[in-house]
Amino acid sequence: MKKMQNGQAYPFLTPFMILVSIFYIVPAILTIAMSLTGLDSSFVWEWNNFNNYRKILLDPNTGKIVLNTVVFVGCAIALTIVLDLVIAVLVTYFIKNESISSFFKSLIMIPMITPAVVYSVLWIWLLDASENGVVNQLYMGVTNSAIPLNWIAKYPMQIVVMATVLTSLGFGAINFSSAIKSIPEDQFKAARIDGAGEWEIVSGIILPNIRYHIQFIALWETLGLLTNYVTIMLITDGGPSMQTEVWALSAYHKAFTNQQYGYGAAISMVLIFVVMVLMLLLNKVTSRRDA
Amino acid sequence: MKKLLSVSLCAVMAASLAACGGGAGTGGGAGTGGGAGVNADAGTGVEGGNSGTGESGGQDGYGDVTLTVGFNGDFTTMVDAVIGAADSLNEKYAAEGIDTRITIEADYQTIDNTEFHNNIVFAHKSGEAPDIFICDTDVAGFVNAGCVLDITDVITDSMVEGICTPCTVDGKVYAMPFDLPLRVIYYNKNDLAKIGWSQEQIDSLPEQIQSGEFTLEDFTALCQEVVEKGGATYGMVHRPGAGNDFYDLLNALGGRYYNEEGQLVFDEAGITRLFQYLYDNAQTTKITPENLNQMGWDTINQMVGTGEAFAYFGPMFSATYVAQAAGLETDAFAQQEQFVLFPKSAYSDGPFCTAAPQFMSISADTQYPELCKEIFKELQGDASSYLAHHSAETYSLSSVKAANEMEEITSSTILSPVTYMADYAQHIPAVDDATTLRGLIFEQITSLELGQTTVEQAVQDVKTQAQLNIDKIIME
Repeated sequence: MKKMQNGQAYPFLTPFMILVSIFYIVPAILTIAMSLTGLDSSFVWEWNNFNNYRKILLDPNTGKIVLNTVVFVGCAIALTIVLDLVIAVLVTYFIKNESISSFFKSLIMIPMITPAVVYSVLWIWLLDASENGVVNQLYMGVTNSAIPLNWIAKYPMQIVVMATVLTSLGFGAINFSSAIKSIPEDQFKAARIDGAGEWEIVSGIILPNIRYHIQFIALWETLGLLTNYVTIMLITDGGPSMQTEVWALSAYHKAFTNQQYGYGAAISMVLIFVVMVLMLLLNKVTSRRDA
Repeated sequence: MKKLLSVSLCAVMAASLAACGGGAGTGGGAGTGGGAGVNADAGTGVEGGNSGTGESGGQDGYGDVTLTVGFNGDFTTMVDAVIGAADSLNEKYAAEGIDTRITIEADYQTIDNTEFHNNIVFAHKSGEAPDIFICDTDVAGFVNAGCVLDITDVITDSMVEGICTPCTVDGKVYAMPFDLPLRVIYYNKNDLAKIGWSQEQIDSLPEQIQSGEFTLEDFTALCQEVVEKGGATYGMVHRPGAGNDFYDLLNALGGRYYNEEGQLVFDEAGITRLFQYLYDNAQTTKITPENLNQMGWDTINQMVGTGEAFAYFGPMFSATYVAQAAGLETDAFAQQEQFVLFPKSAYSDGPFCTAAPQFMSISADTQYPELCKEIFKELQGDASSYLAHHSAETYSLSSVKAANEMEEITSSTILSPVTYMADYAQHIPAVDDATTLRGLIFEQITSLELGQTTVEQAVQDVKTQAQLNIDKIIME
């Protein structure tokens, strides 16, 4: 009977697997092939062996782009996880009133559900370099400065990290909030009876109980940040002076701005390799939690 | 049972993958062999069309024919010209008793040029490209992809001399220029009046530039003077993105980006001068706002149109947007704005402007190549008034000599004072990878104007990237 139940799963999986084969595996294979060509605006496939990969290694910007990617992903992940935890603990553990808690949870969902274009335009508008910019009006009012600041040019990485973190908060915070809710109430009661303070409860009960969720969100967000470049593209487009050019955006620029599709595919292949390693890690984390 | 099921499912998966592989093979074929196949089919079709319809066309005509036009951009008068030429042909066919009635179906888009270019190439790969389409400056890309028909035999002496240079690849013409927009410098005459220039001085400046008496260095100093005396907030602005306008400035400063053979050149001395010039404007004299490249087109057009910025360099057709942004009608705009040549500099031979025509091409896939060619011929002949109208609407001279003599152009308050510029127009050949180099140059211009890099570093960075990304660039 058990064998039959297992067997029935396969026919249900087959259509999905076929779709995945058509729309993911085949394009992935084509991307590998493309990365070995000098495909350009003529879309004529001419093999150039590993020339694109050689170019990646020789390009003096590669180091800068890798560093940008590490800084961007690292800062965004650290900030996201910390803020997710703070928000989740506040709205779940400290705020017991369900409706107030829901209100705050809805509030942090707003950046996530706002279309990226609208959201990015808002940032550009807020940080407008002229004296008419909202942030500049505040800045000039507070500091009595007569000269507005060009925020996006001066602090591009900080700005794209902030913009990205705000859009990521909703998913992690809601996830952590659910995880905190699933902790048996007995543990909190026992801790309070033993005289534990609030910080001890957070660090000794909440964090250990949701550690797998934290690992999962950290890896999940890392995957997302490595491959998603929309916010950066819309706010700074990787500039100024490559200061916010990250790996995925660089692949986009090479392929679709410079029409070096082969080179763009090679850059993507490197990213796919990194993402695959992270997916294996994610899988391992999930398996360990399930075990 | 489970094993059996697994094996059979594996077989299904393998079959599906194989099918995908076949598809991929076909797709791959579409890229190479398939592409050739399409070309071969199109070739056969075209030949069949030529001979078959040529015979029947001569006797009976083609009957009812619908030609598709793919257009991308704001100046839809180009499509109106094609429709007008088709109507003109229809009348002739009717008068001659030829059974051919052409209907034009146009697809209008306003997307990025690169995206439109790719769409055409993909449509060509599947044999569904429009019969006639607007062709961007990457004519060589279309030729390499086999998308466009050789129309050398269509181009007649009625076209302005040299105007087909940008759409000529290996001695063959692959697109027809529909206009002759000039890339020039334009400035606000009111700003000069504000700083105390007399009307006589203002009126004589274009001639002084034309004669070489007033140089680029003088003009840059004038921009600074206008700012210092309160005539304008900024002296000189430019487009906020990569574009050929910067190549013009490079030329004005005695640099070049292609050689006599039409090969891409990295002119280190010229690019150094270009970078130094733009750096000085933004960081030293501050006649250019340092964050110009973060501004949108609307902001810049408004700055130019209202006189907040004194001068701008770019194509004349951009002035239509400037006039719109300032809320000015053509005549009012013509009164305040002056178009002049790029002045001679200490490094260049003389004043010049650059021809930047917009082209239409005929698809290699079209079933009616002869009819499409007839339309292009008609535009050079009896339907040239449509091109005159298009040119007048877009502040351009016309690509057809006769159209330039028509009243719509000769009476234009914008165009009539600049007809002399046609003699100074440089016709730029189709240079492979020029767009890649201009992208690299613009990246550094952004950094330079923000003061985030030095001229030497910027030149070095462009040089390194150019050597890495452009195979056939000649370093000078």
